[in-house]
Amino acid sequence: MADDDEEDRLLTKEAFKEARLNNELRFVEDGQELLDYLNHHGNYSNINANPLPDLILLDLNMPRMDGREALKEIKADPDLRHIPVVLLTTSKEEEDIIRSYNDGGNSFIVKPVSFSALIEVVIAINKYWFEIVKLPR
Amino acid sequence: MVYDQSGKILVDTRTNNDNNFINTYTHLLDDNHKPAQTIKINNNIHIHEGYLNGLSLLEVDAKIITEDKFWGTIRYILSRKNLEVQIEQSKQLLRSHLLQNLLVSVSFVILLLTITIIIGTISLRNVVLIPIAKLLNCVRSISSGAANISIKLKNSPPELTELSNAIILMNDTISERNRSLHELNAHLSQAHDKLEQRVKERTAELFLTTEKLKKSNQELEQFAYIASHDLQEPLRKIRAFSDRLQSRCGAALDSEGLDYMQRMINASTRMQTLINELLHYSRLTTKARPFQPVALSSLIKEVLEDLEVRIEENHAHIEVHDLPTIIADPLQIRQLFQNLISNALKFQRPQVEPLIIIKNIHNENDTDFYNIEVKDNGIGFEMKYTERIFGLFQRLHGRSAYEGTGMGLAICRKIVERHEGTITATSEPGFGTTFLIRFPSQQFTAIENQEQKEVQNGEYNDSNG
Repeated sequence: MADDDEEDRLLTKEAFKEARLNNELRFVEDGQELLDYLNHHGNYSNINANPLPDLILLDLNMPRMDGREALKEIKADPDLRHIPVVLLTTSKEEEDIIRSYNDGGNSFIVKPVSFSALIEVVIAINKYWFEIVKLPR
Repeated sequence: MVYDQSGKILVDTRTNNDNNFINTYTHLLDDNHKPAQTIKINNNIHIHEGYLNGLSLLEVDAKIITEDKFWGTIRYILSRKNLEVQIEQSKQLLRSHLLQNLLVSVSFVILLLTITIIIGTISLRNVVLIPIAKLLNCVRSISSGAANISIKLKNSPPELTELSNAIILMNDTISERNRSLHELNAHLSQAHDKLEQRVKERTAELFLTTEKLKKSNQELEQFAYIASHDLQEPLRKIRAFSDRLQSRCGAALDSEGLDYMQRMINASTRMQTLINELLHYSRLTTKARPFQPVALSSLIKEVLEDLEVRIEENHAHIEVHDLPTIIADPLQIRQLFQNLISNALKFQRPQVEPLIIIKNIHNENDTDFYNIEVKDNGIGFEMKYTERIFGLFQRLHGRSAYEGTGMGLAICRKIVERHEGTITATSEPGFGTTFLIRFPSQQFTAIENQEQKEVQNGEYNDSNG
């Protein structure tokens, strides 16, 4: 998950815990960090310690490099574009939704307002992407 | 007559006609040409008639014998025509003389006439034509704007003199009028310039003011948007962590603690709703869509379908009469009627089934507007609050009595005003409320298009902000 908001990261982590899901979670704080991780740069040079994720939860509004740019770069990279990217953001702007799908985003979710709703979302994401949908190996 | 060589008359012959006999006497003349002797001529006359060139000829032979002396024979050849010709000739001569005379006199007369005409023309020219030409020049110079003219006419008939005087008078009058016209024109020009100047100044002022207003409007809307948007984030956290606290540590709280917890959660929920509505209100103009024809009857039918559940629950009865088609933003109009009908359902009289009537009031004197009435039989309100109910966050009842943020009617009013219409309410406590919405029958699409451009610019600024 890429999100600059500490509490959102915390709440998401909590939601997964509440839902009793044992997916392994990694967090980064902005687009640049996300790309570093995916390209195994800097702190993330150890491939074994930092495997490519099966799913990316991406916030749109982040400092340094925001989600929109990061999305474009990921989907332009032949080695990375296969990874499903789920936008998870506070913005419900029509423009952001359209642009995200246009740039190759796989889903767009508006961050739910209540925690219980967040739990449901997390459960749904898990069920959909890891049980229903087939991902490339 | 017989002449000798020197011309002296030798024989004087006279004839006298006496029927067809000619007696000829001949006189011998002396040297003084006085008759000396008379000789009778033999009457042997041979008359031969003949023709010579068509003329009748008479040939007369006369023997001259005096006392036994035979002098000779005189032959006379007389031609009749000669005489006639001679007569003719004399006639002609006379005629030609006459003709000549006639010609001369006629030429003379013609000459006289010509002279007369010439003289006449000359005097006409001098007396009439030249003055008239002068007058013409004067009139021409008057019409080309000359102010001062003088006409000098000499030897002109009195009529022309009067005419020239009249022309001078006319010219004076015209000059006078021209002068006053010019003055008036100058005044008018001045006044006009002053007015234009003032208009320019006012327009510039107005333009500045409008620009300022537009700018501050935009800023306000941006502010409202940003404020509500950024306020959402902490609110979300409050709610989320309240939820967490409630579920995770709820067991550790006593009933009062749980109560406080619940009130906190309720409060933050309300705040979230308020912010959403405020955000929505602020976007009524920035996120507005262009106008299109909206058939009110079918739109309200859809709204009623959306509210179906609530309508059934409340056993409400809704009458929709014939409604016109207006030029409007369909989404906003939908919201307008949704709010109004929702309110009518909410504020029903206890134990009384809600009855809502929506109809178009035809007004002969008011053809520029559609008048649409939404009438209910709910609890009503006192007329002194009739303006307050449209205020932002204004409520007439406590939260515990009726839920709601007090935004519904404010949103209605904003929507109606955006469509250049008005909304008013009349009511009586215990009897019900009637809302009257006036829509202009023609939208000024030109202004709308301008607004659309501004809206789109505003929209662009928003997403970058």
